[in-house]
Amino acid sequence: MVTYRTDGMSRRGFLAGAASATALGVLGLGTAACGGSGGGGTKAARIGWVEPKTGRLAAAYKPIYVGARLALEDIKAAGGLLGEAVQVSEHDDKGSPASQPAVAQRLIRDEPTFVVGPTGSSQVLASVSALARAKLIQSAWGGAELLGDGDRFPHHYQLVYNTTQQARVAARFLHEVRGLRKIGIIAENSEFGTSIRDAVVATLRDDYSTKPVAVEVFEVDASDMTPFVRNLERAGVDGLGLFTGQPQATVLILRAMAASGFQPVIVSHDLNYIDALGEFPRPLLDGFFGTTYRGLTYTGQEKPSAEVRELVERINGHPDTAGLGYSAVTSPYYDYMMLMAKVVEDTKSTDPAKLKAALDKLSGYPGIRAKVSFTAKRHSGIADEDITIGTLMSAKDPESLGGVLRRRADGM
Amino acid sequence: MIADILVAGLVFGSLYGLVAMGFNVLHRPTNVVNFAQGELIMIGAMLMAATPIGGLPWGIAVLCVMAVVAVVTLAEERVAVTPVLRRSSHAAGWVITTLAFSLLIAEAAGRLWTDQPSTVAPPWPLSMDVNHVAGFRFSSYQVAVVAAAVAVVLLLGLLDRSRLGTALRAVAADRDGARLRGIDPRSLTRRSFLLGGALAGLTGVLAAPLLLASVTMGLGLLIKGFAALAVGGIGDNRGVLVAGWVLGTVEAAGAAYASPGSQSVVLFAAMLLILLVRPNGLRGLAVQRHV
Repeated sequence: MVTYRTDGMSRRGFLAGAASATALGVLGLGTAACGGSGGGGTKAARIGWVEPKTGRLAAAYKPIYVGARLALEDIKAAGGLLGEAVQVSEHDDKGSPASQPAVAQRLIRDEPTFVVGPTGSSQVLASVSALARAKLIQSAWGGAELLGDGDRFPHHYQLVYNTTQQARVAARFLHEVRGLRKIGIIAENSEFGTSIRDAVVATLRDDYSTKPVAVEVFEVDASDMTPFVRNLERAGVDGLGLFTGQPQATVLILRAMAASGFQPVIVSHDLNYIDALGEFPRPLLDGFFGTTYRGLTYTGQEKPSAEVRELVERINGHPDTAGLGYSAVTSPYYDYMMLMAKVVEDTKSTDPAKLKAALDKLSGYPGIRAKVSFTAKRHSGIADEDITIGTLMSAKDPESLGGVLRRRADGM
Repeated sequence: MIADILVAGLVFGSLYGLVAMGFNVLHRPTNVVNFAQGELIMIGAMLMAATPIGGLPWGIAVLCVMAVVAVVTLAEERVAVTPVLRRSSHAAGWVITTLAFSLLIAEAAGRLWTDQPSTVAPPWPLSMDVNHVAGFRFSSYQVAVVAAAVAVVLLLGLLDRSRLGTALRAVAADRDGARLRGIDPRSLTRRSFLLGGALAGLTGVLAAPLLLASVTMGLGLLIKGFAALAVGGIGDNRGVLVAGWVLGTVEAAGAAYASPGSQSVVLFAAMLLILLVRPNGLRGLAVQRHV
């Protein structure tokens, strides 16, 4: 008789299973299911469209592309581009950076006139790197400053404000407008979180000769935000930059604050009002602000333009909006599509080289959210003066047109 | 600060322990570690937040959620586990098939729900209101979650000592040998998946008020539950609960004291250290098998 010890499953087997699972996860994320039309051969303008169609966040991304779909309707209604019907090649990137090289290969094969998407800083960085050699005109929703560097990514045009611009506006609001001196930062551990955290620290140092009294970085899957919030509270933070792409993390942070009665002035980059915020005391939410586009805000004297109001009504009526009108209207894709339609018509060409030459000289294009300008070196198109701070709770105002627009914060 | 860390460690560690117990329930008759466990928990939480189940009285809603998740888990057993085990009880194809099933669940969830988190209120008379006792700050619901985790350990212990538990141990020790003694491993496997699914549903229900119900919540719980399983020892429910508490406390301490962004490093360094010192799990239990 042989006697040996076992846990039912050997440790070697256990670890091998874990390694296999990890490998499969990576492979799974790296596999992009793609649809859309086939190769080239037609002279009609073709739009490459990168959108997560599958995956756990597929529904969450839909509102972000509502503006692009409305722009497509407008372009079709105007007779297409150069008198030809527009073709769209849609590609599913699953919202994953790992999918981008495969999606890029398909885009390159399709030879689109320009590319819309992807969305998310990590995805965008992977995408523009993969598409760089193909010289395809592209605009994606990524806030990293380097995405607007015309030398580094000469064919990518950034129609959103970048993290440095956000950091400047947030720091100015907290330090100058609100006069707060104990500024803290809490950010997620991600490409976006790292980028904006560093930008806020640099802005405080360079523009105000100060530094944050506390910097907290949490993992995106953190279960409990209490320790981070307690650290901020102990540091005496009175103005807080809160930066995360996870709505769940924002709510958990606010919950930890509400539990201890800690109510600093908060500046975030996300002004979506979600039902889960309803549990918090009003004073905490009244102190919650966020960066946004000046054109999407109102004051007692200034009202949004008729164009903005019309677009908001169309967004609210679109089935994909799903109550996330703020995400839909701040998305860059409506402005980008309409800009590209104008550039194609102006140059009377779908040649990417000619389109790029025209874009590199673009000045003061009146987008719905903000004016857009580029140079050959500066592909970050939003001017600093078009970025402002809005209030979260104005989502409940009738003037917000269904929670889509925001009241501009006093002093901005 | 230490009081906050201990409270967080106990509360969230209890959730990690519950996830690991779910692994154990399914592992015993099959030697399968169910990588869809995180997504099953997510379903439980999302169902609790969604109407019409979320609108039912709490007790009925919990039963409904447990039943639905149990049925989904049984479906997983039918399509992703049994076909693999039928080929060979020692095959490792389940690693891929259970992970594939989790991707299917995530895919379905991504079509049904956005990433907006939903609040789930604790059942009356529990609440999330913070109480201050002897320097500790906690809510009545947090106490209930810890108590529920302990209760699940005790119930699983009772099950272990029952006739069914004995049969499960026999199947775990030798699936073919148990069959020769008149035990039907397939029936036991089905029952274990039903139980494991119900436990995953309960874990989701318990986690929802603390973490918010969200389609993104499953992966984090899966990883931390898996860590608790590794540290506590496979098959040892008391061990995995203690491991959950230890890991929860290390995680909270890392958040409070480690430099920004290094909490994961602290957590997994602690896990590695424990495994180096206690390779058979915290309680060091191992099963004697005679051949």
